[in-house]
Amino acid sequence: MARLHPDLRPVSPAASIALMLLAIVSFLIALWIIMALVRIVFG
Amino acid sequence: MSRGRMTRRWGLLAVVLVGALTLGAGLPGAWGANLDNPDVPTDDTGVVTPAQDDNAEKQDEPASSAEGETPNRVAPQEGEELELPVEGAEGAESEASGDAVAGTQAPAFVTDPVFGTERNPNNLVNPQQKPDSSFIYDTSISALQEADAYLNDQTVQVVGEVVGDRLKAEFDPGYCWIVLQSNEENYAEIPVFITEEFTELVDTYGSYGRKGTTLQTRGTFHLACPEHEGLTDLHADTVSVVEKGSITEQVLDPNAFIPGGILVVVGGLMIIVFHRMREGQR
Amino acid sequence: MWQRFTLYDLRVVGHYLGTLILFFAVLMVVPLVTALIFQEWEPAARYLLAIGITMVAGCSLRFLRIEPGRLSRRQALAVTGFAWVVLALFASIPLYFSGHYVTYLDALFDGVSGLTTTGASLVVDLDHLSYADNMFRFAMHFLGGLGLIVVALSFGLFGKGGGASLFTSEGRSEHVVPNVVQTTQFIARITVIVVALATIVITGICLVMGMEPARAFLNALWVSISGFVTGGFTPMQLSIMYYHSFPLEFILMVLMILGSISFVVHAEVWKGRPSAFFKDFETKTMVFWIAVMTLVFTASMASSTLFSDMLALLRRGLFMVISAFTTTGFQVVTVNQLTTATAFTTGAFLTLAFIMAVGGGAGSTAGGIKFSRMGIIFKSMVSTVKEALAPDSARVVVAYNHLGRRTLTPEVVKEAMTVFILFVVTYVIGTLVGIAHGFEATEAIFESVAMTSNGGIITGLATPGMAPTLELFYILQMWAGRLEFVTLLALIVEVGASLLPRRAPQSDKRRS
Repeated sequence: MARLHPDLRPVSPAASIALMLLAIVSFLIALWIIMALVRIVFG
Repeated sequence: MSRGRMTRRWGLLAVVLVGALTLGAGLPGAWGANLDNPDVPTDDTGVVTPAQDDNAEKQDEPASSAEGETPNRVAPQEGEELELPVEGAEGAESEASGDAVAGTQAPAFVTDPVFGTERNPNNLVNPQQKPDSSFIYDTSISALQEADAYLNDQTVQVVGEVVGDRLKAEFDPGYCWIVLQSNEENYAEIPVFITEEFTELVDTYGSYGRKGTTLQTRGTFHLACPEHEGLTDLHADTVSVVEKGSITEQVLDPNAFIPGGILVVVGGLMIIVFHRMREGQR
Repeated sequence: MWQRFTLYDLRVVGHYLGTLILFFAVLMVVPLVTALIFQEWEPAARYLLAIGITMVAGCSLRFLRIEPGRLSRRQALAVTGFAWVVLALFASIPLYFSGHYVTYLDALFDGVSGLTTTGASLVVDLDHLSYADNMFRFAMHFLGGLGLIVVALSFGLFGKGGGASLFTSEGRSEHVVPNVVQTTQFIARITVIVVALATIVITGICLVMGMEPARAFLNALWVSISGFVTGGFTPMQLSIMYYHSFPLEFILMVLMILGSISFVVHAEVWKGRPSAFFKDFETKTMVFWIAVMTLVFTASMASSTLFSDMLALLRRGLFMVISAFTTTGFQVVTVNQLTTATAFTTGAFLTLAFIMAVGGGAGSTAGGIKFSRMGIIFKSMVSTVKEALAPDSARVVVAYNHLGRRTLTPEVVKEAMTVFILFVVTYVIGTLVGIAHGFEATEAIFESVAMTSNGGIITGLATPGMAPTLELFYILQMWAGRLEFVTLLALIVEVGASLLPRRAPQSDKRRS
């Protein structure tokens, strides 16, 4: 399966795991923000 | 002037005079003449002081009208007399003190028919107590488990076994969380928010082989506690131990291991046999 | 037309099931050791007996076929299909005799729930359960969670499998595609590391809260396992409400999301290629879908009388959404709060069911229809619209990124849509069965979805001592959901075909 978008550069495993965790945490925070906004608007 | 009209006028005057006399005779009986009567409380005695709790209850109603006053004066006496046949000796005492009340300036201390002359701190009337929490629901944890808004924010009293651990409350220092489990067959549980000093009463925390202390607790039940982000919990006000916990001794019975041991050995042999057969077939 | 199982097939299947059962006996050593450490003598004896029974049964089955050999695809299908229920049967033996189950079927239910990582439990008086029994419940979660991935890899994710089967003779690996073995080891390693790290952190939190060290460690270990394999069993009856700890809930949320991401994506990230995660269309589907569902959930909670407090919504509301979509099944609200209209509105309740129904990422331990299928169906709709608008001579190609750039083929779309429909049909039938037993409609819907999607948030239909017919159906749903239907249906068809009287002698050709 040829990749049309090759990776820019291989990162170290620790960095990539940290990046994934950071993404998940920011996802959760974003969800909290959505909840707070919806609550304020609808409540 | 005709004779009929004259008669009417005199009659009217007579009625007025008789009425005035009657009222005049009655009025001093309603107010004015008996200002010194100790049985009739003036407005000041509505204030409750701890020393006069018991008798303030009985003489709390201020005199409001002529009609109301007479039953007031009679009622405490009547009340005591009604209790007399039930209470016996103590009732005789109260009757005596009731009589004393009628004759003295300051009302004497009235003996409480249930608690006698001792002061029970649990039985004091607290006028600051809010009306909706003065009713205590003596209920079960299963009922709390299925409660709807009816029991929300009410004072409840439940009995349960302490299980699990004592965990410190994360945002409230000095408070802990314990779990009470009901002993009915649904084993319903409720988290209890309790001060750390009350948790000293708990001697055993229930887990495998341990029965925790049975506690009776009274406190406010919340269906979705606003202080704890919507948790169903009970904020305990008072806690008392009903039964101490117990630890069941774990008996090591070697015979119980025999059937398992035999089967394991058999299984092991089967594995060996199997591998021999497999090697043989290769 | 339908291929049938021969006696030879049965022997092969029996042999490999026997091997799996034997492996399960080894797993039972873990609760045995736990019992010995904590001097829980009755559970120790019980687990020794269970090990013995399981060993003997497993070894006996292995004698059905002695010589080593490969598994054909159909045979591997049968093995993995039956494995869940057969292993649960052996799991129910020690569980039932712990005395914490009302009926034997309840113990079997818990066995299936543990292995399929559903997480709905019918155990009675969980807070007085021995450490050994609790350890066993979480060992089942661990095995079920990992085992699924291993099995799924062996013929799911790498195309048609190419004849490669995971279950080969002991020690001989020449028939197995090396890729599979490597990735399997990688996955096991990832799981162990993630669970270990989470355990350490959560042990710290529990110790700070005042638990005894042994209990803190055990609770942390169990909750970490359950979170990462998106199981849902908890060591205490109050579920995650027991811990009253916001940091713990936060860590669990991260753990649950990690567990619902495809393991192969994990493997890529751990090798240092984070773009596999960020470009993956499942990730994009997840972000979009969960954002929308959170919005809907919060809006439907706004009219709640008791639960519309901002902090309650943020803390418990989001946790429940995460627990639902990852199909874990941890709860931070009571069943009473979920079902009565005072805390959770009916709308929020059903939104949660909907979130569970769709589920998490494919190739992970999450259940439900899965994001990849939802993504594929969506893209297929996009493609259909494109084709309608494009001129007749144009060829429309829709691409998506899942571990490399792929194009949307009709086969892929067909599989996604078939499984999607099967899930929905099962949800509906499960609801009808629940209603037939006299329960409320909304609760029946929720429970049916919870079972099929292996979610495990209970609303009160699945209770100890429930009606056996309902219980059997829920077990079937958990099993079907975990096997993602096609496997199960293929199995049922094969078994059914084998039982029918044969028309002509055609079984001799099928020796492999």
